[in-house]
Amino acid sequence: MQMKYVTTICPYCGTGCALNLVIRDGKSVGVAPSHRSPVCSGKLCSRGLHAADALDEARIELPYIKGEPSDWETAINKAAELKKYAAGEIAVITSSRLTNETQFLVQKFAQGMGADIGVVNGGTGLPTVTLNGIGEADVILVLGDVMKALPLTGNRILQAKEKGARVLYLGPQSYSAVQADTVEITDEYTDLPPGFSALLKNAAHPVVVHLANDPAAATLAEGLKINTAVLYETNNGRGTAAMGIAPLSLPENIKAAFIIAETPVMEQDIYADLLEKLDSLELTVVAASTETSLSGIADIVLPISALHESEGTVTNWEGRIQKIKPAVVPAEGVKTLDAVLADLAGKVGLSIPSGTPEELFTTLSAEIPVFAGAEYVQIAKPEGVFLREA
Amino acid sequence: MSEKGDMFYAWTKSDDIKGECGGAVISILKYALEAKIVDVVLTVRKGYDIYDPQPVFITDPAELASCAGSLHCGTFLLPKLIKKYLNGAKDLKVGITVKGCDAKALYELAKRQQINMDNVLSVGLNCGGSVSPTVARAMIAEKYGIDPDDVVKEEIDKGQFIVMTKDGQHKGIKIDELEEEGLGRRANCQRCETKIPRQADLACGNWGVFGDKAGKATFVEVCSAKGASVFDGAVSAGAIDVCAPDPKGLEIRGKIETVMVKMGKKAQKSQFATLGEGTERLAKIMQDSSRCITCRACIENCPICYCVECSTLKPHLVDQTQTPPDFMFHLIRFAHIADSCVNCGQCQELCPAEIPNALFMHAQQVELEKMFGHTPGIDMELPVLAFAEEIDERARLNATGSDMIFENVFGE
Repeated sequence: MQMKYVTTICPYCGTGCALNLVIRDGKSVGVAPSHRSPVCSGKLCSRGLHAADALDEARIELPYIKGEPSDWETAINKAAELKKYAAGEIAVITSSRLTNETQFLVQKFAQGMGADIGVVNGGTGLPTVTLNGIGEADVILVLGDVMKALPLTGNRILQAKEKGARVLYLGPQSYSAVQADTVEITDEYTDLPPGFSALLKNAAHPVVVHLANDPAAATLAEGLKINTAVLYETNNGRGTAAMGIAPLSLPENIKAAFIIAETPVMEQDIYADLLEKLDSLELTVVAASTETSLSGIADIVLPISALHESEGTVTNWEGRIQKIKPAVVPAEGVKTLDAVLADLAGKVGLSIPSGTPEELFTTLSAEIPVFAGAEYVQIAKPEGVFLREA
Repeated sequence: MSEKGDMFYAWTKSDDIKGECGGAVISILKYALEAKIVDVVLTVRKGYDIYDPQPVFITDPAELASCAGSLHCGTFLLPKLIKKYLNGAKDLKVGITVKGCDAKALYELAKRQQINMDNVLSVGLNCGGSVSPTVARAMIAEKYGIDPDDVVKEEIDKGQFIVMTKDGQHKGIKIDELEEEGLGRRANCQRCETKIPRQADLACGNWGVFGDKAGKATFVEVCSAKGASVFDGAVSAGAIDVCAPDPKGLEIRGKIETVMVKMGKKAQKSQFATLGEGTERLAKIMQDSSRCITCRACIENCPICYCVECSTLKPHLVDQTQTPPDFMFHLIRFAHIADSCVNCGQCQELCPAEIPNALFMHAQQVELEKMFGHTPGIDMELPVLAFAEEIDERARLNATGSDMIFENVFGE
């Protein structure tokens, strides 16, 4: 019997809680708190508590072509037909859950192919405050049900409230609404209720909190000219945005797509709006670690390793870069996305960067200014390292 | 030959084991692993830094030396890991280090047939309380004016929380002063009365090591026949050396324990007072509980909770679609746990909604103990409240081979 804890970052929301995966004889059998995490102090929500199951559920372990099991060589050769499509006809649809390093490779691949690149379940916007800043606020304006989407960020709102902060809420009926002191229930927010502005104006440390994929809230928050917490809903939404990858908008004349569908179970409906369009394309290549709704419409499915099988870094909504560690070895027949991209690039005659996660991080931090100065070894600290713009 | 109640100074004979005060704990566990008295040792090792104690499961005796020394930011509970990941020690022999709350949790899990105590060797560690890593770092930065990354060691001595930096600086601040500001030890540790865990097979620590052995020996109290046999074995095998304790040391140890227990009682009084009485207390509990996000971390980590089918998941008792859940969710927890709460603090420490769950539960436990005279975690006595014919009922449940109380009680 061999048993150990591997400290890594929760694969779900953009808060970036650390957790320990409990590994027994090479299998992840549970989640234990990481009390040392400055982000969550060991606390986790129901998603984090069940991350071990989610990461292992519904895994794909073989390449598929048109729903039939295949082998890697055939599948990669077929996928390389993506090169037939000109710029404007092809899109790379990436996931906001990849590590910074792998996302960088995806971006390079898309650029090399002349493809449009966009992210599903991502967001935009720069926060001007951190988790600690929320905890120290005296008036907090919550726009929408942020406490459900990012429970351990919600924890800081509760902490501030315990210390006497006043919580104002604007949005639909929700958990966040129940926790607020002053509530205005509405499905659309264009203006602040009259009392809210005065309370914010008179506060010493006011903070507005909203989701990174909520444009109406962002517009409202911008007008307030106060510290803003922009909450990305995925473990690396912020890192993806920092690389300049915007939320997806499909090109009009799209004929082919390469989709990276890294997403733990419990949130696979994120592709619902895209399915019909993608099904109509000439060629759809999906790289995914788990079964998603995309498997049904994909021409080619390539099985990739999941987040707890890779090393790399992710950036939480604060801009805190943190280390994720490989906890288990992927099943035979599964490749890392880095390897898949290298194979595909080779087939289509592209050159993209390669190397260990550390080498890739060094390359990306030299190239993308907001990552500049961040050192890979420092990221292993429980505090992580902040993006320059954070 | 030693027996229950005997006390010794003990120290390691290995140069590799750099213990906190003598290294006897790790040496005894290493002996137990080498002699195959246990198959695995569940203890704690420094992770990233001194603020990051990590539970470890060790099967290679050579690896144990890396676990020597004490870490006061270890705020977790180990025994439930035996239930969760080691099949309750039903088919594996486990050596485990236990603080007071761990020792009590071990008994409560054993009473509920979740851990086979015959297969557990528990080495108790005296514990004056633990400090949350996040609180410790913030406190060292703000109150001590020291970069927490520069601290190489921390200890609690003579009522002070003392830190030592890499360049040899020492700084201590009175724990009372820190705790008045909401810093210092965890709130449940402040209320704790189990400072020397005599429920374990051996109870070890540095309190009472006096004279020329001060700082060089571990004070060991033998607390069971199993403890005596392993201790004697470790001496015979040459793992540790021992001598009789200094009588003055015995007196000092007794005094420290008495003072700390008094402090615990005082903290209980002042913390419980913040809850108010009667309906005021109920209102406070309902108000704070309304932050619940139903993550179930309190249940997952509670050493009393063990039901396969938790009543809080029954739709006829708790509406499963609502967050925050009905107050019934918390009432079920109180009804099932309060008589046996060991005040380990996990339900509060790990609550993402900042609900002082352990305070609520411990406050109830203390009242129930006054009414019914049952003290959890000190022996194998079953709680008096759970069932009128608890003992008969347990026997009947055991005979069914299922631990699903609901099914067993109401299913026939």
